[in-house]
Amino acid sequence: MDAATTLAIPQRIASPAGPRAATPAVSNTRLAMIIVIGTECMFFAGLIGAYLVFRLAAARWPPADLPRLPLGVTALNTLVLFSSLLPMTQALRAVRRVDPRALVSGVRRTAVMGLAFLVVQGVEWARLVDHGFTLASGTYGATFYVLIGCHALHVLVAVTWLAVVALLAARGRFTRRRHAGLEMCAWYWYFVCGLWAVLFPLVYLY
Amino acid sequence: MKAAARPLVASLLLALAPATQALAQSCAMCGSSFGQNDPVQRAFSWSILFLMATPYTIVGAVALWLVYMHRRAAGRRRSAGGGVS
Repeated sequence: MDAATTLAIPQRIASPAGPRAATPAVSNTRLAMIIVIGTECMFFAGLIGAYLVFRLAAARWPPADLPRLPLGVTALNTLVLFSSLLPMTQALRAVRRVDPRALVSGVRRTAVMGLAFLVVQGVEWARLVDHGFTLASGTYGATFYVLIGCHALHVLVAVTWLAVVALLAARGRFTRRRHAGLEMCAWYWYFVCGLWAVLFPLVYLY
Repeated sequence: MKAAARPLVASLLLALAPATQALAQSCAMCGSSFGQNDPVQRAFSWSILFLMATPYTIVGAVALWLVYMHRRAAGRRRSAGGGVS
């Protein structure tokens, strides 16, 4: 290697730290996911803002002629959703300590718990519709179904993503150093669960 | 020092003057359509406060996290380089 070529190499790459020094502090994947989650937060903030206007302006909430929301079942369902954070975190830890079995098991358990949450939500919605509580039941019905429906849609997307990640994990596609797909999926799952921690008290308890 | 503070105090008072209750109505709609203690007015007020706080919270949280990650990466680089920055 001649002198001109040596000088052309940036100092940070030529340093003893090697390629590690050139690695950015925050990867592009993480930045992209932050933007996605930030956008989603603002989307839900808009919906929550609309809900607050209707909720605080109403003389009686919920209206007397409409059925009450199933609080007990939804509280249990909430517990299931929040419990799913545990296997998700275990899966993340498993990929870092190179434990493929624990990784696959963790992601699968998270996906199953998310699916269970969706199924229970679906059954409760069917019961509410049977009792005459629909999207057309005034502002109460409209805000409830739009807000909770959008969250359910996000859970559905997250469960689908988890299923794909579980498949890839079973094929050994994630390593200790390369597991951005799993990590971003976990971030999205944390977001979905965190969102429910806001929506459940707001819609069901307040 | 006192003379220098006078314009500052005057500017501050001038800036705070519109914040009095009579002038704190954001638009003609809020000023004329809602009566005293109207729940709709309260609902809009809380909703606006919530929507105003959300972007600051998100951007603030992300900024703090980015600062933390940069500092952590810098610390790792220093330790990998044997303490030479």
